[in-house]
Amino acid sequence: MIETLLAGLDAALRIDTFVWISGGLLLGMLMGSLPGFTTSMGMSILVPISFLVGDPLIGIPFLIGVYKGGIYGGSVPAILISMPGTGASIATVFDGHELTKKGQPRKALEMGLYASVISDLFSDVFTLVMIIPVAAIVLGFGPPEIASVMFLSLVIIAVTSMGPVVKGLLMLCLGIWFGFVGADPFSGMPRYTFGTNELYDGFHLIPMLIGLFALPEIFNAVKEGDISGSSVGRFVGERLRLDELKKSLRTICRSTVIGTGVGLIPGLGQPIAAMMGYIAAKNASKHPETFGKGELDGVAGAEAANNAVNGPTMVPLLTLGIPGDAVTALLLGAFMMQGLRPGPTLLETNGEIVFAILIAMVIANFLFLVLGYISIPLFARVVTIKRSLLIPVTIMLAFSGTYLARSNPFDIVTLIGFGLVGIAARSAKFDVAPMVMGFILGRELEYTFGQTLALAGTDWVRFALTERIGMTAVVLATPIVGVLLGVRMSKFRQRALKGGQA
Amino acid sequence: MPAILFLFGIVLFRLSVVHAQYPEKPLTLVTPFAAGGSSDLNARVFTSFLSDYLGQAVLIKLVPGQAGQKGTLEAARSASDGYTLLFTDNYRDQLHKYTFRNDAYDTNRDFVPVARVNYGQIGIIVRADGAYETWAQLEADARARPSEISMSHSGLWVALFVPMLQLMKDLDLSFKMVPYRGGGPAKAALLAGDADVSMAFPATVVADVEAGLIRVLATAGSERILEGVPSFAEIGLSPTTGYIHRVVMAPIDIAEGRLRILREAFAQMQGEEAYHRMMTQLGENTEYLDGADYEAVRIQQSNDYQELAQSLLDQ
Amino acid sequence: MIPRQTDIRFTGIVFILAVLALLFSSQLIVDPPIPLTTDLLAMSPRVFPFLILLGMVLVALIFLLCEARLGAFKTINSMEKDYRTSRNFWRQIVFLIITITCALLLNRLGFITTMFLLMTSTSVLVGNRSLVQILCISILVPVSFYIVVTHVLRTALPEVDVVQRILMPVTQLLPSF
Repeated sequence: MIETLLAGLDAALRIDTFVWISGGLLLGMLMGSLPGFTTSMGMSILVPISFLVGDPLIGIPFLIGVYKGGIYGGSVPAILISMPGTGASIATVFDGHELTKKGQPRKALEMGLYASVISDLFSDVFTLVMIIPVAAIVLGFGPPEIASVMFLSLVIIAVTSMGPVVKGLLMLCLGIWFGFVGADPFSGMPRYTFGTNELYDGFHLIPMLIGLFALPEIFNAVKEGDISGSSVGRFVGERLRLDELKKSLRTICRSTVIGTGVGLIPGLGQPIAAMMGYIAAKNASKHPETFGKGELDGVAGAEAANNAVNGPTMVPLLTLGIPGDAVTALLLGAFMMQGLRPGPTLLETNGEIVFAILIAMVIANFLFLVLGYISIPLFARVVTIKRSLLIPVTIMLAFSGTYLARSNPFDIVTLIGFGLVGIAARSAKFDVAPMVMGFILGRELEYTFGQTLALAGTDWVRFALTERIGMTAVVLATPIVGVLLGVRMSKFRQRALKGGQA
Repeated sequence: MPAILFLFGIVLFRLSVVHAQYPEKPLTLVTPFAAGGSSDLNARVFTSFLSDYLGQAVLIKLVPGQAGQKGTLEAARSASDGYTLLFTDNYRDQLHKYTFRNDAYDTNRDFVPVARVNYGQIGIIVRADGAYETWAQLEADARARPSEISMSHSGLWVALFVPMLQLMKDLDLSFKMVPYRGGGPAKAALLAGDADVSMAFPATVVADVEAGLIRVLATAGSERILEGVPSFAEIGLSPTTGYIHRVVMAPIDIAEGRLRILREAFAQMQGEEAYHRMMTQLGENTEYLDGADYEAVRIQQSNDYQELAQSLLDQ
Repeated sequence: MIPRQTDIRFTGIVFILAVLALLFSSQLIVDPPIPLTTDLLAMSPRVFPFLILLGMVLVALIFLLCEARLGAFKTINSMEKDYRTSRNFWRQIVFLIITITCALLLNRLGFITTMFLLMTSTSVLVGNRSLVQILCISILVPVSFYIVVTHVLRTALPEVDVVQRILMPVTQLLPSF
C-alpha cells in the first residue's frame, strides 16, 4: 500500500498535471460563477477534451479541477448578486449577500475561498488515507439509514429556520410537494401535471433558486424606484483580516467534519452539507441573531461544509466503480474512455493511478488558493458598478441562467413563478430555505422511503428492530432533537427581540 | 415571358437541391438517456466513428427524462428529412407502450430501424460469499420462500427488471423487487447485503468476479458465455429473454435513399478496427445488425412483451 | 402591509390548495396502466403525497388557530388602500407584466431582442435616466453573452435567423474551439 502511495506521489508531481489542474480550476470557477451553468454541464462539455489529452493522469485531474472550481464559483454570484449558481451555494446567499450589501464583498469572497480550501484539503487527505475503511462505511449506508438521516436533517432545517417552527414546517412540506410535480420516481406516472408535457419533467432547481433568491432583490430595487445614484459599495471593501479568519477556524473545522460526514452518506449531496454547516455554525455561535444579517461565520460554515463533501464522494467510484451522483457518473465515463475500469480491482491493478489522482486532488487545493486569491478582486469589482446598471444585467443573467440549465422554455415560467413565491414569502416573513431543501431532498426522501418499504417487506417490525437498528434510532431521535432545537431557537429569538431588534 | 423563365429557373434549382449529396449538414442523434450512463458512452463512441463514414458530424443531443419518453417524443415530432435520428433500446421500443400511457407517439408506427449497434446479455448475480453457489440452489430457495428473497434492480421496466419479471412469470417464482437508481447502486446493494440477488451485464462485473466478490449464476441466451455458468435456455427460459438491443432509429417517413445511405454507413463502420477496440474497452460488443434484418428481432420482441403485459394484466 | 395579515393569507391559500389536492388526488395522480403488486412496485405514487399534504393541512391549521387566538384576524389596515395607488405599486406591477411578457416571447423574438427589451425596461424602472447608458448596456451585454455562450461554451440559446445572420461576420472572426 505504501509503495503504491509513493508511486502515485511520484506520478502526480509533474508540471503538466499542475498546469492542467489549474486550467480546470479556472474553467470551473468561471463556469460555476455563471448562474445556471451547472458543473455537470460544464464537465460533460469538457469530457471529450480530457479524453483527447490521452493521459489519465492529466485528463482526470483536469476534470476534478473543473469540479472543485465549479463549487467555489457558484458562491460568487450567490455573494455578489444573491443568485446561487448551484444548489451547493444556497446557504452562502444568506450571509454572503448581506455582507455585500454592507460593503464587504471582498471579505465574504475571501472567507468563502479560505473556508473552501481548508476544508477541501482536509477532506481530500482524509479520503486518501482512509480510502479502504471509507469504502466499507459507504457500503454500510443503505436506503433505510439514508432515509432516516434525511428525515432528521429536514426536521432540523425546518426547526432552525428564521421564524416560528410552524412556518418552517409549512415551507418544508410545501417544498416537498413541489418535488412531487412531475414523474413518480418508481413507476414514472405523472403527478400534478394536469396532463401537460412540460410539468411532466417537474420543476428544475436552478430556476427555482434564481427565482426565489435573485428576483425578490431585483423586485425590491424596482420598488425603490430611483436607485440611479447608488452602488452597493464604492470600493470592493477591505480584505479579510487574519484575526477574522482565526475566529472562524472553529466553524471551519466543524463544517469540515459535517461535510465529510455528509459525503460519506451516498445521496445527500452538497446542499445539505452547506445547510447543516450553516445551521451548526449558527447554533454554536454566541450571537446567533447576527446570522442572516451579514455574519462572516455563516459564510465560513456554509462554504467549508459544501467543499468537504468532494473527497468521500469519490470513494464509491474509485473503490467499487459506483457513481453516487451526476458528477461522479461523468467521471466514471471519463475513466472508461481512458481505458480504466473503476471497480474493486482498480486499486490493485492501477493503484498508482488512483493514488496519483487523489494526490492531484490534494495539490489542486493549493493551486485553488492561489488562483482564487488572484481572481477575487476582479470578481468583487462587480459591486462597484452602479446598481441601476447592475440590476438589468442581473435580470438578464437570471433569464439566461435559467435557460442554460435545461434549454427548456418552460423553466422561464418556473423562474417567474418562484420569483412570485419568493416575493410573497418575503413579505409574509416565511423563510424559503426549508422550502428549497424540501424540494431538493423530498424526492430522495420519497425514493429511499419506498426502497425501505420494499426491503422491509411484510415483517417490518422485525426489520426495524433487528436489521436496521440505526434507522430506528435516528427516526425516534428526530422528534426529540426537533423539539430541543426548536425551544433553543425560540429562546434566541426572544433574546434578540428583547435586545432591541424589533 | 420573364415569369415563365423565372418559374423554369426555380424548377431547375429545386431539382438540383434534391440531387445534392445527403448529408449536407450535421445530423442530430437524440439520446434519451442520462449523461455519463452506458448508453451515452455507447453513443459517443459510435457517433464519432460514424461521422467519418457519413461525411458530416453526428451530434448527440441528450434528452433525459420521463424514462425516455421525452426524447422519443422529440424525435417522433422531428422532420423526416434524415437529419434527426433516435438512439433507443428494445425495452423502450416495444415494452414501454404497455407500461406508460402515451398517446403522443407509437414506436412501431413512427420509427424505422436504421441499425442495431450492439446487444447485451444480462446475467443473474449473487454475492460470492453468499448462500447460493448455483442457480439450482437459488431456484429451490425461491420456491421454498416465495416473495422473501430480495432482488435489487435499476428501475421499473428497464434492463435489470424486465428479464427478472419474465423469469418469474416463466418459472412461476416470486422475488421481492427493490428499486435502485441504476445498475451501479443495485450492484452496491448486493455487495452490501441489502439484496440477495441482482442482475448485471457480465462485462460490468468482470472485475468483481475476479476479485472474488460476485458470482454469476446464469446468463441470457441459448449458449453459455461464461465457463460453468448455465444459459437462460438451460434453466428453462426463452432464449430471447434478457437481451438489450441498442438501436438507432429514424422517423418512418424518411426518404428511401437517405435511409439506405445511413444503413450503408453503419455497415461500413463495422470494418473499422479502432471502433471495435473502443467498444471493447467500454465492455460492449459490436454485434451489428442492419436495420432491415433487425425488423425480425423487433417483431419477436414485440410478441414477447405483448405476452408479458397481458400476463400481468390478467393476474 | 402588516406582516401578520400577509402570512395569514399565505397560509390560508396553502391550506386551501392542500385540501383540494387531497380531495382530487385520484384525478391529479395517474395510476400505472399495468397494476403491480407490492412485490414489484415499491410504493404507490399516492402514498407520499398523501402524507405530506396531510402534514401541510395540519401545520397550516395549527398556525391559523394560533393566529386566531392572538386576534390577528380582526385588524384592518387602511394604509393598504393608499399603497395600492402609489407609484411604487404600479412600478412593481409593470415590472411583473414586462417580465412575464418577455418570458413568453423569448422563443419567438430570440434571446438578444428579448433581453434588450427586458433590460431597457428594467433600467428605466430602476431610475436610470441616461439613454446612452441604457442602450449601451442593453445591446452590448446580451450580444457578448450570446457569443460567449454559443461559441465558447457550445450551448444553445434561442435566437432568430435575422439576428444570427447579422452576427455572422463577428462570429466568423472568432477562433473556433
